[in-house]
Amino acid sequence: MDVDRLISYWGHHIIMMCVWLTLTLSLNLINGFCGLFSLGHQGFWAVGAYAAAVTTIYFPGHGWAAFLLSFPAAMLASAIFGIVVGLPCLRLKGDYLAIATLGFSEILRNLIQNSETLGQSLGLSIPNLVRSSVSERRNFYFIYIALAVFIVALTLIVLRNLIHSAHGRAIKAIRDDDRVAEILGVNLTRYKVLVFVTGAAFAGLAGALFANYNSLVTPDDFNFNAGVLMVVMVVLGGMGSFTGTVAATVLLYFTPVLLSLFLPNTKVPVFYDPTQGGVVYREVKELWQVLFSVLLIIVVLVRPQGIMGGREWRWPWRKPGVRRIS
Amino acid sequence: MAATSATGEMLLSARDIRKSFGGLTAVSDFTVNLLPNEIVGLIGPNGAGKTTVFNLLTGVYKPDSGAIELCGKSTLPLSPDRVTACGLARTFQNIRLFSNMTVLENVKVGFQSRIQSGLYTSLIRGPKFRHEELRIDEQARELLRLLGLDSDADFLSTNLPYGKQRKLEIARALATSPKVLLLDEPAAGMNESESANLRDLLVQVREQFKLTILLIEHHMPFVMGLVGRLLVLDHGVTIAQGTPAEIRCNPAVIEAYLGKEEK
Repeated sequence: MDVDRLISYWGHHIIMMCVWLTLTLSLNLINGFCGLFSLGHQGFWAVGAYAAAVTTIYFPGHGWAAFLLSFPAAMLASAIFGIVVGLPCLRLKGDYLAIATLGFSEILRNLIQNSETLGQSLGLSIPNLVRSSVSERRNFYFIYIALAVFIVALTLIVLRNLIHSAHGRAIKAIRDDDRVAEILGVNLTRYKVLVFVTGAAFAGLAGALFANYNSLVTPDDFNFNAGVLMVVMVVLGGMGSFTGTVAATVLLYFTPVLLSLFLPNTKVPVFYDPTQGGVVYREVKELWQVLFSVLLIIVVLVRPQGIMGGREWRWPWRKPGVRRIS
Repeated sequence: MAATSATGEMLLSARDIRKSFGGLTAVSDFTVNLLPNEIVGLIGPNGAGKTTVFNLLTGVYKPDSGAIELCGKSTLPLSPDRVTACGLARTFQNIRLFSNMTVLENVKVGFQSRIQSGLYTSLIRGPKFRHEELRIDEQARELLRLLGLDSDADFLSTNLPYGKQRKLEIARALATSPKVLLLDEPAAGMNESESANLRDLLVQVREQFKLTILLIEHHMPFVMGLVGRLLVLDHGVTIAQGTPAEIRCNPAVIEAYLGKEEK
């Protein structure tokens, strides 16, 4: 077996999974912990990706400084976009908020698609510093895997510490009953904007990782389907559970990967159509969409609270209650 | 009785507040002055506007006219969370706990307006954060102990029996360290011994926290034994006020509750 091919194949999927983990973990803060149903997370992701791309391309010197700067720049740009979207939208609730956030991200995608500086539909190519400065291809993947894992760990630690603090209690209280939370002294606007901005900033970080790794960003990477997939991952895992979000993201990311890896060119009978000459066969990986919908229907029927249902995984040897302060 | 001239002493005062929803005047010209450490009852038939008064006092609704002052400071421009920070807390008629949070966490939310540690120190778990969390934990458990809920601290609040949920609402309100506590039917659904128990508890709480309490209650023996004076609302209008004994034989009150006697 060719080791380099193995490393680039799995390396790619591990890095992309980390991008998705950062996205779903930050979306879980907004949708799961604070109960603000956002369908526009792909918009924050896009802002981050394009901000990182523009920084890497246009920052004088095009050197490592530009590369390193692109990550905080992406977070900042997304956070600002979070405030711009958040302040008007957070007066809305439930479905209305979902539609408004979706609207914003679609408007943004259309703006990018029509902007010449941002490369329209063809997107932006980003000089890949890491790739051009390492001698061996596998080292490129090792560097990015390390970076991606670091970003996921950072996201997880920051969000966990936020949730397990007084601020986290305020956020969860807003999810359960925002009017009562307000009566108990929680500043609704402040915390809703905080949640939106924090979620957006980490989506931006995921965007920076994606843009720099992929060397190419196009508007279509951030379409509605990507947004829905994120929401499905969060809902499937269990709203307001870090463990659930991680589990569902890994599961949903790797199932199609494994399907096409282990069952390549395997055709299965799908339906009978005499006009197409009898039984129609399809490749297994094409059936992923069907499998995905069936899985979702089963979860909604059998376990509407998701895999973890708001609970967290705890090592069996750790006693309940001593785990955390809050 | 109520309208003492000692304005400096009044904790909470509402003057001539009026609120209408569309064509319906829910509360008209409502006036109340609460003195430190007293317990006042607010009674009236269903739909009299009692809960609307609570919503006006806590800043959930803004009155169409009139003035509300808490400790000599107008609360009209403040949002409900700021009003709470100024020392006004309330419970709800239909229990509204944070159902996906534990009993202890519910109480801890009440400390929200006095949180000192900012976002940054919370994220890095700095010493200030740890110190404050431990203090909140201690105080929250102390409140639960006071209300007899200490053994339920780690249950989800939705799994508590009804009576304990009512007590948890009071514990949560006390966590905001209020000067004035508004209780919306605290004894609803309780039997005689439970409500007697609650009455003792309220008296104890008032002494311990130096509280002023305004309570809405339908359970007359409970109210009459607890409060120093009563306000009676009917159709948004204050039809009577006075001591329980005066209210009990007030013809206007009897008429509001039972209807006019046929001549």
